[in-house]
Amino acid sequence: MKVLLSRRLDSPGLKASCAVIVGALLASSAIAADVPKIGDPPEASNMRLVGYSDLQGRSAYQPTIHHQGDRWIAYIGHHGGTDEVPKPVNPMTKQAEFNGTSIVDVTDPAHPKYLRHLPGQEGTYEGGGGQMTRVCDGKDLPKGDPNAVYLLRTFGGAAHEIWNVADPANPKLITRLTGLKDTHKSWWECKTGIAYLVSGVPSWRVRRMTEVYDLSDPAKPVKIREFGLPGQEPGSTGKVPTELHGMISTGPEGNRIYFGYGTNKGGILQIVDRNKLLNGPKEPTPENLRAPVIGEMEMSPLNGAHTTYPLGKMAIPQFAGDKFASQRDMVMIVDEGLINECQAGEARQMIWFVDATVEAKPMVVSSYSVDEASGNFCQRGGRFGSHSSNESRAPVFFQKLAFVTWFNAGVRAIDIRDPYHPKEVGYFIPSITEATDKRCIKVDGKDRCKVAIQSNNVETDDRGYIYVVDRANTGLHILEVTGPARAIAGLPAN
Amino acid sequence: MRLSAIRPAATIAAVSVLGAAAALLFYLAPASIKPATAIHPVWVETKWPFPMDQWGEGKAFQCKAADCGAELKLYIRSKIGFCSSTTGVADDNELDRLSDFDFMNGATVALDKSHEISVAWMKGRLRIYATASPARARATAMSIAYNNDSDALVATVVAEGAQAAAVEPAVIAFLSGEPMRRWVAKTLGLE
Repeated sequence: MKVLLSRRLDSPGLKASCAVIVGALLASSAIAADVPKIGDPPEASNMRLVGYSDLQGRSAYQPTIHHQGDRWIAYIGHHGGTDEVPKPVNPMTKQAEFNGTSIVDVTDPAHPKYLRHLPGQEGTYEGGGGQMTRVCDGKDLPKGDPNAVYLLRTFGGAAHEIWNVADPANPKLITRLTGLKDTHKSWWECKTGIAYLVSGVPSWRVRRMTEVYDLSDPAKPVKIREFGLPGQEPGSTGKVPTELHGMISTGPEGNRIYFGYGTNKGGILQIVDRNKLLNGPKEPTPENLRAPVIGEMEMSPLNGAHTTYPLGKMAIPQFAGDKFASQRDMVMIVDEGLINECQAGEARQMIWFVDATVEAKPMVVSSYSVDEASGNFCQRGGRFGSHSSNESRAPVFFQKLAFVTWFNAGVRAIDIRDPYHPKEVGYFIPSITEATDKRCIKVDGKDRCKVAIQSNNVETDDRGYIYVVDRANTGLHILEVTGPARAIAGLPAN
Repeated sequence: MRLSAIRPAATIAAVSVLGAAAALLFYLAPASIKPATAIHPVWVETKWPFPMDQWGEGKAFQCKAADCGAELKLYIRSKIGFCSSTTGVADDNELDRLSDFDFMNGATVALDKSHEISVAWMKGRLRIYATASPARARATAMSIAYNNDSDALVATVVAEGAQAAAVEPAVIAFLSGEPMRRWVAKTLGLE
């Protein structure tokens, strides 16, 4: 037996097998090392943690950072609670409260002060809470109270609400638009008051479409029209086009609205003439829905358009010597990954850069995705893929750095100065905490769960701070860029 | 509007209404299919005939006219994460949103409102459509969507020269049968 074993050990085939086994063990230990543990430091490159708020352990969606007098206030929307904790306790009131909106003073980003939790709709996960936030000063709105600051938020999926948050610790409800379903990622022009509300109007054939409102006087909302893709309107039949996710308007100056349809499939970028949308015929007929559309780009059906972020006209470095079209009108599209651990039902979701110089014929010219192997992200638990970008057009980062959340791969800083060749220049993956919620997949018919960061949304402020919030209840991380990434932004070295 | 303009418009409208009514009667007229109780379906799996799209491939089956009373083609696939686990397939709009109209091979008109169905342990809705295509004779199609949590299963049945409604019991029985239950469980990671 010993002889036999010795011979087997000496055989080239067995050596190869042993090498494979050792390799596999090393690989599995590497994967195990990538599974986060409480107490692990954050993973970071050219990004640094400045401050933190646990957001009372609530699952977070949109952060909006508003310069309010001499203070900086973060308004952070939340999904509903979890099955285990549907109504987390607010330590300030000692009351169990359905998730809604966290209001945090981030004037000193190293020491954020939690001011108020504004409860939202009853319900768990996407069935409750109040995911969306936008903020306008009353002095900017044509008919607003100049002393007021207005928070536009969703109330679960059922309504849009406007609150006066001039005193952010004591918000006062001004308006509620009800009778809706699946309200979501709206846009509000502060200089005109025109709002593009992502709503589900029951007569429409999709869960989400656009209601255009004049909210120049937040106390007296005036509906202008309903909008969507032909085939979604009431009374239409047959195939239903991809539903809306959100939009960004460039206001009357730019006269364009960039709509994104689809999250992780069937993505469509739609470029709309704002003036025609607001002033054209309003009855939702197929003709009237097409009338304001300048251009549309159908993406691969394998990807969606969660965020459509207009980057404006950019000088493309490699075209610098060209006498024609050396500047390009660029749009960044961010898909949303929905499926945990790269399982069936979804292709990889990432970001795409679109050259929309010829608006009628936009075209994808480049893409960026986190290298999965760099962190074995498909094994870490939860979602891996892009979700959302910063939307601020403040000069500190605009057309220079984009920040995109990537769920268990944290937030990524991408050098977009040459949008034909985007490059990652930094990242930050927060540490998990006791509050971080698990994410599960089915294995052999049973739930197999892992705890992992799920960086969900990100926004930046005019000072150059980056605010990343977590879908798995890990809270708000306030970051800054360092090293080469900081140099790109033109920020002083720290 | 001048009276002379109204008359042609009224005539066109009347003709349109009569035409639509005639088309509906055509589709609703008794079909040559045998009663569902008399048929003995034999479903044979065939190659997935459609090009790749965002939902990927599913399974395709055929039941010959001799076995099902009319030639039936059945396509089924999963749409993972595309359904509300809270409300399921709640109404016509949700069924339409989930449906694979591209598989029906032509313009479609719903012939009625959808109704609730049960497939194995799942619930959903079923709706019948008339398909109109210059290249085809009369055909009807059936869209069936049901869900397990947030995952949807969407079946499309195209019935050549017959009313799809007549074969509803046979189709539901097939979808609820053990082989399809196993396929659903495997596809959704339930086993």
